Amino acid sequence: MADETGGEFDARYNPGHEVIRVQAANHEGEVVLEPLMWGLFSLGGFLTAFLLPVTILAISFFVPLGLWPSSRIGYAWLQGAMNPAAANFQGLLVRLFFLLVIAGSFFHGAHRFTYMVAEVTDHRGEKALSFLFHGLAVVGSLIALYTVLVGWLL
Amino acid sequence: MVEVREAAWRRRAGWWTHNRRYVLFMAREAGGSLSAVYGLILLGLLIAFGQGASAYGDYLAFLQNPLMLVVQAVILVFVLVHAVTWFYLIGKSQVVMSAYRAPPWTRIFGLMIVIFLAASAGVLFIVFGGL
Repeated sequence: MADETGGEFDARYNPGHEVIRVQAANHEGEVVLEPLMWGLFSLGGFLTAFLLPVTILAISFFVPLGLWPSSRIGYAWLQGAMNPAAANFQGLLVRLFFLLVIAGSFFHGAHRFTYMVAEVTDHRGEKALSFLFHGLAVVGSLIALYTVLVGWLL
Repeated sequence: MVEVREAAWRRRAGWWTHNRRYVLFMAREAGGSLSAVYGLILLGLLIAFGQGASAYGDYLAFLQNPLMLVVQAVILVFVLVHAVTWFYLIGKSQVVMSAYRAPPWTRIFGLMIVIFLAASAGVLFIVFGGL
């Protein structure tokens, strides 16, 4: 019967492993969406940690603090920065940057907020919250995708 | 016979307020959540941009009103807490990942800060055209 689960691992040296493999062989309780969402959460955390602080400073604070003239983040700046015909693919890089930071923050925030609420409320209604916020992250990311495609492919 | 008492699995409300580490944990969770709020602000910027120069100008003026500046400052602080505590965690978790050969956490943390500064400089130059 051990062959049914593969028999590749020896349970004597890896207690508990066999149980997991029996479930996997029966395809019972397999979770597909959760690891996918966790992956996007993790990627989003990476992107927001490295790229978001400087973006917040540049868009929200450098001009009010008088470090930059307002033209640095003006309409002409964004028009130039997102120009798909710019040299060295700069316009496409900037579009990709906005898509990654926005979608990354949405998937990261959806996971964090779901579990932050779950930690405080002892996991009541966690599934519904998770569905709601991850759904919003998907919708928001699709809108972000649309905005970076307009003027380039759309 | 010894009476077996079930462990209370329910935590009291506000359990995280009694320990500095738990407060920091919640601050990091909040930072991750608030990053999505700034994602919304950025998405609003792109949508306003798509509507033309006037809508874009109005949106920037909205972001620069004092109340919105306070909101964005709070977001910035929490997003920084999220980033810095995560860099710290990466250093600390190496002990779990490789118990016998874990480098001192300060080395990993320092390296993460260097990468963070390099990524920030990259964003400034590629997206915003320099300092």
